[in-house]
Amino acid sequence: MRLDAVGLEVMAHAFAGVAEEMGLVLVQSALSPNIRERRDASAALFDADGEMIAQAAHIPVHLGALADAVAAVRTLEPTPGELFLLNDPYAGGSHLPDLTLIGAIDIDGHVGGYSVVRAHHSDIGGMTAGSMPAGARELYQEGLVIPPTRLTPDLERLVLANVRTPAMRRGDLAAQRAAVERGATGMRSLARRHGWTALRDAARELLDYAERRTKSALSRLPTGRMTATDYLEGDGVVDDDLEIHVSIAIEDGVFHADFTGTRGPAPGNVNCPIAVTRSAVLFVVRTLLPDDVPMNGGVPRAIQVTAPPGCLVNARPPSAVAAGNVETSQRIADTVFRALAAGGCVVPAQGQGTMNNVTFGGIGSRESGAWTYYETIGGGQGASRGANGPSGVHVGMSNTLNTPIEVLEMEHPLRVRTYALCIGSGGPGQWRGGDGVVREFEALAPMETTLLTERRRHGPAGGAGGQDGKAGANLLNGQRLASKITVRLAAGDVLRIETPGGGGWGKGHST
Amino acid sequence: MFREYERISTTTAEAYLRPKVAAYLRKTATLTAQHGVQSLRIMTSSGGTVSPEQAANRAASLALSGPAGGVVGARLVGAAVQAHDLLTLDMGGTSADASLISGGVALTEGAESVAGVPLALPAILIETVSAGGGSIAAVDEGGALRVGPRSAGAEPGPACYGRGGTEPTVTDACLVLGWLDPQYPLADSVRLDRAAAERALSTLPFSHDVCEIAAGIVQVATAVMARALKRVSVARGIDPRGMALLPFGGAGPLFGCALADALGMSRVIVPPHPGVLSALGLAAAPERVDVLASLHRPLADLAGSDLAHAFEPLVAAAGAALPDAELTRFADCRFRGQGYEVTVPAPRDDAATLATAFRAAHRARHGHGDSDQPIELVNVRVVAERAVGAAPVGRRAGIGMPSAGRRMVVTRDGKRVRADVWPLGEMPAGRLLNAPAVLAGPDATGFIEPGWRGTVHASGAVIVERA
Repeated sequence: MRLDAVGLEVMAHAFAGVAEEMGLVLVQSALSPNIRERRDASAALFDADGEMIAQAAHIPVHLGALADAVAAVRTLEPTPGELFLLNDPYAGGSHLPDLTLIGAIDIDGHVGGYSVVRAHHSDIGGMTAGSMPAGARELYQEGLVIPPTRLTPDLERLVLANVRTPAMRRGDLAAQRAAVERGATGMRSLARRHGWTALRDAARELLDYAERRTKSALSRLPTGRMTATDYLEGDGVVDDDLEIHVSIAIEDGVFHADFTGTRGPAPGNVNCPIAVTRSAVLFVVRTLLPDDVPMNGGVPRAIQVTAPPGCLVNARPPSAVAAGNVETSQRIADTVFRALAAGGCVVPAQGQGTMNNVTFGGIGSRESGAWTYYETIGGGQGASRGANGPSGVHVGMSNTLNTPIEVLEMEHPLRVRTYALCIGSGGPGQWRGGDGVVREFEALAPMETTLLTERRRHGPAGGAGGQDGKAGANLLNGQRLASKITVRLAAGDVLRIETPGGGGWGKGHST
Repeated sequence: MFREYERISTTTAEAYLRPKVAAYLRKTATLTAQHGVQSLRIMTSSGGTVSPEQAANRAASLALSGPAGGVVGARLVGAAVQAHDLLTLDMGGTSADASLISGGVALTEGAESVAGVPLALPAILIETVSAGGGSIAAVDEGGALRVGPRSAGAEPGPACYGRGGTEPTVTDACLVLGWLDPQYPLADSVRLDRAAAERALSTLPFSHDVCEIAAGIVQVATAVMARALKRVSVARGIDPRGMALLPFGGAGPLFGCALADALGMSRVIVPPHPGVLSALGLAAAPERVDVLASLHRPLADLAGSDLAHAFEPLVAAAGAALPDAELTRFADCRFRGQGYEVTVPAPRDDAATLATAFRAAHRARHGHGDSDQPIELVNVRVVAERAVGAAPVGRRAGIGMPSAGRRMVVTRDGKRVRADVWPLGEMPAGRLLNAPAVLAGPDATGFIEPGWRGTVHASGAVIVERA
């Protein structure tokens, strides 16, 4: 059956509605602030062939990467109704704290598709509380590695025995399971209503439709090779600038990104599995498309990503990867945008280019009330032709809310002393970059904290002659800290995070 | 109010709006007094009214007052026909607003944000989608038919209004299908031009048959609106299948059966005057004042005197703001660690009773109420309501006008059928209306699709059920 213009649109709404419901179920029943308040999670429906049909719009870095998770599960030959858990970055995962739950949807005794929920858990064991260590040299130091595995009560017990905050993990996992189940129920009710064959065909048509729209938009962009280089500022082990190089070519509506020339593996944990690299490229392509192109597996059909095996952006085990998902992904997107700008595309100036990952954790046994807390902090967005960059927002690969100070202080021994815009940190230009943020935490008890941050040395670049945004800074009791570091805090210590401002756009000064 | 960003954003919105709203209300009060209106009341987002002086100090709480009026009107009609669990859909010119009434009470937990600005104020739950009578249909470059978000608005309006609009809209589609009657002027005495509608529709490239194009537009508009209805029900764990759908606005009742189909519902209530239901709601809404205070404590730590102590100043404030009102106490509770609160009535100074009520409400909303996490109190609130004397809904005898005739219409699946045409709001109670039938009122039009059957209720509403 070929869907007509009407059927396409009707079915797009039907699938998107189910994904939306999954997302609502997740945030309404999750326990940890990182999922329920900041919504560091994504939900999606996949077809039986492993292509994404619809995704609730949550976190860009999860966008393309979920397909690798489904592909990894499919190699285990799932039977209808089975539930899988994974976090292995080298088998469908992104970094270890992202636990992905995948349900094989039972439609009349067959696997009719997959219901997928990825959520960032604020601890998965490993060398530091919160499992976002600075200075890890191997994946094994970053936490418990879970290859795609059937989720049984025994597996859940094993996982909970390896984390610092088992009660919260159990609650968050239950919320993920409820959301996966909602996705399966939604898909079954669509199958009842439209008939299974028609539904399956409709999903395929929607993918073809998104592919057509993507290729049509991409073929209007400049052709010819476009290249750029940008740098990460150290990896928690070495403090050197680490080079990322990309070469872009757009041919017949297909976007090719080749990362040949990027440096080899980093000793620390800024390495990126290829799935995350593809997500970052997909994010950039997504910004080039009209808003109303549905986000499904048809879009990545128009994207090809290549990178030498083992390099920084195509990591091999056992390279450590915790910061690859959150920081390197940002820089990959920056580098691809920079190449487009060099090739004559009109793109915004660089934004803060970091998620400013901050993790806190109590020191002590699980019985004495260990706790962990993770957040990321907004900053300045780059200005674009025709608009100033917004201030104090997440830019690029993240899309989370902040944790309300009142929630943070109520649940953990922290006091927020300052939370304000860093006025004037946005780069000047015809259009001004957005301002970064200052967030100051006072420890009320001894604790461990880890920072994984970027753009502390090189401010975000301006575009089209606009000036750079101001680099960020990490300060402990007024003393500068490295961009990626794990330190212990005593009660009374004050950690101050200043996030980068966005680059300005165009010569001249905004009024 | 918990969560500082939402609180600051609400305060900022209030500071921005208050001078403008206050000046506007002062002018309105002066002018209405000159015209002899004794009691000007202002609707708020929570579905109750306040005095103009109070409204001037709560400008941000008026943000969703328009849609709230419609929900109050829908609740009244529902009560008149003994339907207390309703999904409501107000279809206007550029958008459609969905809401939900459970046990005769409108759900008031919506309004996370209005136009991107977080507002932490009591508001009737409203989900808006851009599908209205004036929404423009277009085929995009990937070959999908889209309806909205662009709208022809009131000026130039749909092509069939003959005011210069040339793009095809939902209203043009309804006219081409014969659901609207070119012989019969709309509420604002617009005469519909069928030829203009056909010309506009024929610009869409996906079919040569204008009826097929029109049916397609209707199907897409239905899908968009169904999504809003699902957001207020299924997405919140509420099963719509046992509820009745109450569509209103000028074109809402045309889509009642189609939407009920999409959600698996089997009952549609077409109010007697769907086009002015919001106005009825405004006139009949109770006067209402909400007061709230944060009290973040584990329920187990609260003595009865703590609750009494917490409610005391709120009761005093609410009573002072609205003398002789009925006061109801509520508590927002949650299981420790959750990010969402459930609001439950708290009539007694007893934490154990409150815990039981919370578990029951949580079970109804989220499917379980037995978490081993301790229960926390987050906010206490008092709602003061004073009913107003308004024309009752439900004792209206129809004047017994006969069928206005029959005409050919096309259903949304493209079938040509002969439909009865009935005067909506003028039929005697008890009359059976066989499908297909057009319900033609002075302010709105409805359609009973094949497979359904209508019965006229004493209130003038038409109860449409599966035949």
